[in-house]
Amino acid sequence: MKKAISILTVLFLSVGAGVAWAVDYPTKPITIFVGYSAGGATDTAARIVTNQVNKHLEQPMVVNNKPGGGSAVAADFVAKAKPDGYTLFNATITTVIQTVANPNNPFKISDFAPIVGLYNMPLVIVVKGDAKFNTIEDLIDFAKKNPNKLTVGTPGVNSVHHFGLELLKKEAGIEVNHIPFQGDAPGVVGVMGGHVDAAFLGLVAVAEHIKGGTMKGLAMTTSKRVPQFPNLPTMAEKGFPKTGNIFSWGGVFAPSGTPAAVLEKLSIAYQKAAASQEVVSQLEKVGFSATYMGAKDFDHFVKEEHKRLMEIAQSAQMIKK
Amino acid sequence: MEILDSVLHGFQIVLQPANLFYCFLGCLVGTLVGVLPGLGAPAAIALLLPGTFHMSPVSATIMLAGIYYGSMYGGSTTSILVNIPGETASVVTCLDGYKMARQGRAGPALGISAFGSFIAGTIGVFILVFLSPPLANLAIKFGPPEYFSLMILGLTILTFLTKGSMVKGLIMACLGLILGSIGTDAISGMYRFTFNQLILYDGIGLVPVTMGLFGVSEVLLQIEEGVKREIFQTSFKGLLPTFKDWMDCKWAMLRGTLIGFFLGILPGGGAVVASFASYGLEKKLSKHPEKFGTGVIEAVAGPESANNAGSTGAFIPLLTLGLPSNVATAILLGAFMIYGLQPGPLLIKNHPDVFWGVISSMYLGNVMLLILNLPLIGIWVKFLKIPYAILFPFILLFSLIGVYSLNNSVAEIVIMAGCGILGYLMKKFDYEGAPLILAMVLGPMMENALRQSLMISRGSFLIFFTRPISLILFGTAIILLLLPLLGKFRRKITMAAG
Amino acid sequence: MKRLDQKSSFFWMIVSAITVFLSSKLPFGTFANPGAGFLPFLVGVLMFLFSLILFVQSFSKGEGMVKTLLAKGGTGRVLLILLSLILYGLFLETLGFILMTFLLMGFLLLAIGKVRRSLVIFLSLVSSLGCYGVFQLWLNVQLPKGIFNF
Repeated sequence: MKKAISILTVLFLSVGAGVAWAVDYPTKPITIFVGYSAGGATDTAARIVTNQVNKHLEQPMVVNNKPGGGSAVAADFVAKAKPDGYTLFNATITTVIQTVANPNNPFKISDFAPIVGLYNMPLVIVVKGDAKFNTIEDLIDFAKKNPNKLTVGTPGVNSVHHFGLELLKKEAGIEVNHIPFQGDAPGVVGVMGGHVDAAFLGLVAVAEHIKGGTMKGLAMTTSKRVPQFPNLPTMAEKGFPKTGNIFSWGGVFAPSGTPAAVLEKLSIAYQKAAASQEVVSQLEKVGFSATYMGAKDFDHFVKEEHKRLMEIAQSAQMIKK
Repeated sequence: MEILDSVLHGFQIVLQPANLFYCFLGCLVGTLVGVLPGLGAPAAIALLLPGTFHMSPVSATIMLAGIYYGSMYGGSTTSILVNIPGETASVVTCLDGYKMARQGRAGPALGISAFGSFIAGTIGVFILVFLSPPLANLAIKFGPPEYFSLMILGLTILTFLTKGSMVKGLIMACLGLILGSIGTDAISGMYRFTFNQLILYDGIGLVPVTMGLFGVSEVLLQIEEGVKREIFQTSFKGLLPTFKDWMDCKWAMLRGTLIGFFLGILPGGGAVVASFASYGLEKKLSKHPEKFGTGVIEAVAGPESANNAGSTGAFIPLLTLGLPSNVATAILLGAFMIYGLQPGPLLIKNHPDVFWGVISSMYLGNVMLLILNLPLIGIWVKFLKIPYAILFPFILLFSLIGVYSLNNSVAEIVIMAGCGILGYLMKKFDYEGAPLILAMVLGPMMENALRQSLMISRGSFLIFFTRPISLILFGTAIILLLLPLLGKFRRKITMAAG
Repeated sequence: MKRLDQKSSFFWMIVSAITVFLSSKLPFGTFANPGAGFLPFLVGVLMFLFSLILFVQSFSKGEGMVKTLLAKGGTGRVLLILLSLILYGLFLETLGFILMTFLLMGFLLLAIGKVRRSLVIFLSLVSSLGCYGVFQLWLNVQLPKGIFNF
């Protein structure tokens, strides 16, 4: 009898707790941390989505900028925050790269519970408008015949673009001279001024130059062509499936250990927000394509991404002390 | 005459009442954030950005651009009045501007920086209208080797910057280079001197260092001396520059404008280096270089013209290539995209309203800023009559808020306090802060450019001499360094002969 | 000047020696392919040399002018103010902007000069609330709220 009562009590309490969580959250404002200064692309994307999410939650969600360490300061802060659903992190592929490339990184990918995948941006392999290379095959042929001669720029060491370049080197069996610049703008100058032969750059940084003819896009690192550039081939269709599947992305992480009911509630709010046409078109304006991914898929995606980037980093010796 | 038609069209857009209002609003906010130490144009633009989404793209860009170039007007105010730079680009203005204020010439110093900024801004807009495409092409020619040579040329300025002991100036420059190398190495991705502190991964910010080294230390020194001198006791000799001041400054302003504009169009060059370069050049060309640092007006006029022209020049790569050259223009670029405008080679064709509207607004904006700033001089000077016991706590508070608001990071407040004590001791031990700041700005750019160049050339130093622009810049640097030696040599010969 | 230069140059020698030591652990690379430790190492060596020159100079051309390094009575105040700035930085996020600013301004106004008590309280209140209004409410700067949530 006693046993029965205690079992019942436990059952009742746990059910009650579950219900209470589902009902009681959120009771105060939720803060979503962005690892970059206000006004940047990541910040803008976070604000676009947050504005919409706010329509589906009882309490306001506030964007808080905590720049530093290439977004690692904010990531670390959220990883160590109380897992109650009131502290979230606007994660990007950079967060995963940091856990891969820096052996002393203070947070691990397992410190986070991915909630939703929101957008991505493909990379483009570009050359100068009047370059002798017209197709990606031209470029690879040249690199094969002249090992280490071809100079290829990226917006930075350990950027997703750098990972893309390492994938291409491996998949195409070429050796090139990697020149890391500091950001997109110097990378664009590098290509347009002929300081490097080619570059891996984000679509948004080069879109206008490809349209205006000052740059040639050779291929995109996606599996499907994008509507904006129907004539731009993808690496996947050129026979490089791995290089044809690397892009920058963004989503939302909660600290791991956040109650399932809370994650569920946030997930639903994000799903509704991501479905709104307003969010899709506004994200497009700043250069991202909206690609909604639910909690389960996103969790799987992030883990796969971590595994894959780790392999690239190890084989290309990108891990730094 | 196509250009004139376009400019007229641009004016038609700006002269619409709403756009005029937003232009004025931008200039006003820009002046105010420029005056506040630490809080600069990037923060102000980012903060006001969300409020612009419901405005028309033309009005919004006119306003945000106004904040950007307007902040360059205000930056000099606190440099001159209390020896605390409002922006990093106004560090050199402290050197002579504050001395002028000490001599009761705060009015002329503020006046000449307003006029200098106006002249630079206006000439800059003219260059922008007529020479954008060729200058954009020139900017693209600057690859890593050209940057490296340019930075070497910049470092030669160091030798003109110090007024005391050269050895001490060089020690400070070394310290600046070391501080600049803290953080993630941009070429190899390795962490340098970060001691596993996340906050150091991005390096030490220039603003907390500048605020600490100049602002906090100055307040500490004054407090230590005891606030016996309750207010500035020297009487004010006029509020506006005299005819003689104008004659002393005219070439300085023109040269500052050209240097500033040129460095402004280079992505990565920018207003900070331009202001230092102008100071160095004026000292080099001056008939009385020994007086620099004691309150000469051309040492205020040149750098202030340069940093303003630099901010105008930055619009060339932004509007014609879609390339931001500093944090503030990077945020502007983001704003353009949200408005559905794609800066780049096609902007002028696809959105002539925006392109010519913004440029014309810059011309009007400069006029507004001049009208706005001249009466303000009287008000700013009156601030010096506030007792120090009340003025100083407020200066410290605004520096704290300004530094915090950059990254919402309390670590930067601690860095500022640390640099405050460093700057305080430096003044006690007779060291100057300006070479440190210049080296901290130039160092990382120079190092990255050197390593990128050598990666491109696969180890050959010839890359710096086989490219014409790089060769010219390198040659100029060497000539500038050798000139003083040549002078000494000639004197020795004439002495030996005589 | 003489003794001051000796002290300071000695200090910079220590700083540069530490820099050289730390950067020697980073890869130096070669002149044709500089590594991460290249610039800091060379700059550290240069700085050491310059400090050494200054150290030697300070013996030879001493004019014997020794500036008073610390003015009487002022030093304690300077240290206190510096400490208050650091404490402000350390506790800003826990105690919140308004409370910390009120405390800091009150302290500074009292520490720097003779300001009437009533004026101190008035100015501290006005500055903390005024700045909160201008920066947080109008300019949307994200000032820390702290544990008391204001």
